[in-house]
Parts: sequence; C-alpha cells; structure tokens
Amino acid sequence: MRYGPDVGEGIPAFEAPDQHGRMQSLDSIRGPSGAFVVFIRSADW
Amino acid sequence: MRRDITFPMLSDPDSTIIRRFGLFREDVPADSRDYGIPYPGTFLVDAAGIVRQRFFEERYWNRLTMPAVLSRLGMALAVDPVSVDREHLQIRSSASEASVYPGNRFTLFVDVIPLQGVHIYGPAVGGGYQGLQVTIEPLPYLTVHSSRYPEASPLTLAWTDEELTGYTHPVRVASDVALGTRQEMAAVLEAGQGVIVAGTVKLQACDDRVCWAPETIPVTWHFGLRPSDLERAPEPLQHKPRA
Repeated sequence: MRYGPDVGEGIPAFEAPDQHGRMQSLDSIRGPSGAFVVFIRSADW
Repeated sequence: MRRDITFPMLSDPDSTIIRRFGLFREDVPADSRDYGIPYPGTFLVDAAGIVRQRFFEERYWNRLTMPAVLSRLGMALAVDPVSVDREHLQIRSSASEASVYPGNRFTLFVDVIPLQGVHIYGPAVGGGYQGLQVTIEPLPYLTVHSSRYPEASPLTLAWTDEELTGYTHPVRVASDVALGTRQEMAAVLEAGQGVIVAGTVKLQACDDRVCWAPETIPVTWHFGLRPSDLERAPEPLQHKPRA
C-alpha cells in the first residue's frame, strides 16, 4: 500500500493557516534540516 | 489550544493539501462526518522538501508514535529500563514510551550487553547454536511486528573453524507492537491496569573458554493505557458533513 510521495520524491507545495491563523508553508515551518510533515485525520474531535 | 500544542498545526478544511499529496481517503462516504480525511502518516522531509523517510501503517487506525519514529532515526528514547544481570551478560528491556493510547504503534527494546570477552550468536548463526531471538507473546488486541536485529559480524574463535556470526558488543533488538482500536481495547481500558507485554529472549553466550547453555530469559514491559481524547472542538470549528 503506497499513498503519497515516495522516498526520494519531493512533496507538493502547500500553504495553510495554523492554529493561530498565520499562513504557513514548508519553508516557514521547517528547521535547518527539514521537517516532519504529519497527516492526521482531523483535529475537530 | 486545549492541548497546548506548540508545533504548527495546519488546517486543510477542503482537503486540498490532502488531495495534492495523494492521501485523500476515497472510501469514506461523502455524507459522513469523516469525509475528507487522509490516510494518516508521517513524512520526514529535508530542507528542499525531498522525502527522506516515510512512516505509514498498513492499518490506517494505527499510528507510529513520534518517540518510535525518533528511535528509528537513531535518536534513542528508551524509557523505564529494567535490567536482568547474568553471570556473563546483562539484559535490559525498555520502550519508546511509558504510556500509550489505543491504536499506537510503538517500540519495545531489548539490549543485550555481553561482558568483556563474551560474545553471543546472531539470529542466523546455525551450527546448532542458539542465535539471539526476541519473541513477543501475542495478545488479542496486540499486533506484533517482526523484530529488527543489528547485523551480526563474523566471529573469530580459537576453538573452532566454523564460520559463526554474532555480537561482541552491546546489541539492541527493536520490536514494534501495535494496539487495537479503542473499541478493541475497551475491556483493557475499563480494567485500568494498563498494558502488560511479555516476551522472551533466547540466546547463547560464549567466551574464549566456555560456552554456556542456551538460555531463555523472560522480559516484561508495563505501560500506562490512556483513553482516546473524544472531546470535540467547539461547535463553530467542527467539520460539517456535506450532505
């Protein structure tokens, strides 16, 4: 079962508001080495 | 806010990003409250946005915990170590976390620490020797994944020409286990005793002069079991079914 980009592939660009209403992208959330990008089903329950 | 989350938590109410990543779950009915959810999982990306590692579970209700992810990257977080001292080695059991939630996939560690001059045999040693083998006892609500062993090295032994492999330094075996859903865990949650996982370590140790008999050493891990957080966000923030 394979969903989403594989190892070695680039992730799509994204921009979305965070919990404080600030727009964020990979460049704004990452550290010098990169980032963990975690998908969860929903935070509304 | 309720959880004091400090990492950026992004909102994707129309599932745009989820679709762009190819993670949209097509099998959820459009009139369901859950419509629009992704297959859950974690990407480790570098500064250029290239995926270096990815952690997705076969059963999408399972989640590899972040401490378990970090331990796979060599950032060892081994909590609550318990040691068993033997004449020629020490066995230390620990885990990636102290308490767990239903659905969590987490990691059990067994460290075998041979004393100076002692070796133990690798999992595939053959030759009638007992190779290192960690076995986790099954439980109705527990999925036990294959244990991961560091590669064993060829041993140079004065008393034999056999080509044997083993470990002369401390070795860590990592065994992942995954808990069932909160429904499957209901009775365990109700009992309030947490989760106890039992296992055995089989091995055989030798030094330059002696080979000890094969041994089976029991190990046990104790975890607190936390109930799933079912409190929904305030009504205005809740995701509304489309139909």
